[in-house]
Amino acid sequence: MASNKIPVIVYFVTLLMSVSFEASARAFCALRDPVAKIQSIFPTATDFKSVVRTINVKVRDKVQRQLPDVKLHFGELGRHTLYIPHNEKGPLGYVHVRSEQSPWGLIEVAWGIDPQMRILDFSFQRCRTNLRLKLETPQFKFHFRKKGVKALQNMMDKLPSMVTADVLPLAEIVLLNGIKTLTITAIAWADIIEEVRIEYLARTFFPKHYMFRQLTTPYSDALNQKLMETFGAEEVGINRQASQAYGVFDEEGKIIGVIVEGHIYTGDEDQKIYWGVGKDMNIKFWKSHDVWPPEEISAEFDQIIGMQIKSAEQCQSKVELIGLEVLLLSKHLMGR
Amino acid sequence: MLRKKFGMQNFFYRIHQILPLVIFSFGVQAESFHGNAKWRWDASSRHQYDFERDKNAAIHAFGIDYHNTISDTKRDNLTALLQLYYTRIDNLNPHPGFFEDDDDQEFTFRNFNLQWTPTISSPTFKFGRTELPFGIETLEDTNGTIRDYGIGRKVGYKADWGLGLFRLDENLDIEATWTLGSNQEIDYEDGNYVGAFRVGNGRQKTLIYGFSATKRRVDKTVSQNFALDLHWYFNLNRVLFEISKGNKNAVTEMETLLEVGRHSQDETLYYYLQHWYASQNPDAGRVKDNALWAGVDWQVNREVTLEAQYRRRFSSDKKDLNQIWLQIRFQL
Repeated sequence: MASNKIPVIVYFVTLLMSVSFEASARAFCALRDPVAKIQSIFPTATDFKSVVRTINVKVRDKVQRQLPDVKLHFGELGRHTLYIPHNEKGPLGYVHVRSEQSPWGLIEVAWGIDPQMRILDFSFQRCRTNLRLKLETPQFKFHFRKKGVKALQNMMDKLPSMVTADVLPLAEIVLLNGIKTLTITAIAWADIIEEVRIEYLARTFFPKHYMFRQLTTPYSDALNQKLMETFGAEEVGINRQASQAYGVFDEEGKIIGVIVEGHIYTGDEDQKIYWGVGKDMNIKFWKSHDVWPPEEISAEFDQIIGMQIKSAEQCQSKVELIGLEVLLLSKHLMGR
Repeated sequence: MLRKKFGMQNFFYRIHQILPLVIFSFGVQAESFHGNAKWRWDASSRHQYDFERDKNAAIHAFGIDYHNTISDTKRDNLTALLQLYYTRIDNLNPHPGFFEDDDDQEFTFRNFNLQWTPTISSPTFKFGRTELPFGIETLEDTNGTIRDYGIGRKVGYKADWGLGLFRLDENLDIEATWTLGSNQEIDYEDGNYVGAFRVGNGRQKTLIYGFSATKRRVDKTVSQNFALDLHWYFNLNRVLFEISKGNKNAVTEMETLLEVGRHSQDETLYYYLQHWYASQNPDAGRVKDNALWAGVDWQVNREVTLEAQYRRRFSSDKKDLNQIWLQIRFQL
């Protein structure tokens, strides 16, 4: 009898070995039935897509560099699912579930996240204390709305004034879980997050947008020559090797704008800033990953929106020099 | 009577032809197919010592637990949940019916189904070998664990080949299945079926309750059962309760199950007590059955889980039961 089953064994082993899985992959922390939860967080969603990634030791180390006080328990490693709800306009954001240890056992929270990696909503998938009812109010959830990692971290000190003392320990756990969720998602699904972010920016700031496409070698020899003439030999603050650019096209295939993903030197790790430049050669918007820049630099970036920057001599700050480089890069890409 | 039987051997040959067709018929690119897979090897060794009969028995299982969601650029098309095991029993009496005697080995299926959600507003449909929804078991995954809630006595099986649908909302949890009544084999016999249904409130609550109903006709066995189940969680403790009533071949049956348990903060350790009470009313007179089970589950790390359970029938019209069960399980 056993010999008759050999083809089956061979089949399964071959099927599974042909797939390049990470070792110790494990199902954990998925939504039990994602449909209803996605629909409640994103009522306009008409579909959703799952993307599974591995949370391994490398991801854990990156998380701990960004959040030194946060530890991932062993159940948080392995294969995890990010859900991407869509409607006819495109991706609406993400739903991701993370668990947290608590005095009431494991808590699982489903987080709704917008395309710019800010919290939209949350919902308990599992929480074995009725204290959760005090956190499921619109008033408490409002504190999380449109907040990214940095804003959530700033919220930690203000939490005692937002909730009563009895519910504070649970509120702290939920807030920590939100910070952890955004951080892990940004690291483990970085490529997906990037794609959805660019699509969202193109759709939001360029009404005639039909599609976008990454533009290869944005810093061509001709542009580098022009930048050399404008700024001299030194870079003004953008890491030109690492930075990327995306062309935004209308339905006829004509370029209507450029989204520049600039990697800014900060002395530590480069930080990404996104600028949108239209055909009128004005900076239409800038967006960051939230953890950088600090408020005073944010204010300077705000000031160059719509500003006409013609030459380096006209610039009064490093941020304006960066703005000029973004405009020169965009002009070059739209003209080629 | 229409009887069309695919034996295990034939079925295995069929499945190794059918599965690739299922996978590739959805027009999915190789990368997107592999990209969402979650899987682990699952090996366990379970040992029983029966004090009354001074007898050892064992169940060894080795298999694969495979989960994959197949998506295109915008939506999930299909989810596959495939759990196939090689299972061997040594000196096990009584043993499940699909083993031929007390010492045997078989390929066994646990869940082996494809799930499809037509639209975001619709329920999810299941095709294949699927767990049957009834009572406490619906919310507690006891696949491969010693801890058990006795669904087999009331529904017939823990899982069976057929169709199912489910939908889990904030305040409504509903699941229904209609299966062939053939357990491990795909064996369609005219007139045989198992229907099972459970409706409950949302699973995120601290007090969860549900109502279940089941009806089956498998060869000469005809039964039906209804149950109410209750799950109450407070701090690190929980109480599970189920009461069921029904009949099997015209004999009235009633059963209650109470579990009181506590787990650690990280939920790697769980210890519990279960009390079982059952009564039957055959023509010859009432038969009562009382039993107490005590157990502990310990997830040592990501890969290893240890389980122990002591079973004692302490007031019974049936023969004595006095057993200890131990299991070590590796999931890699």
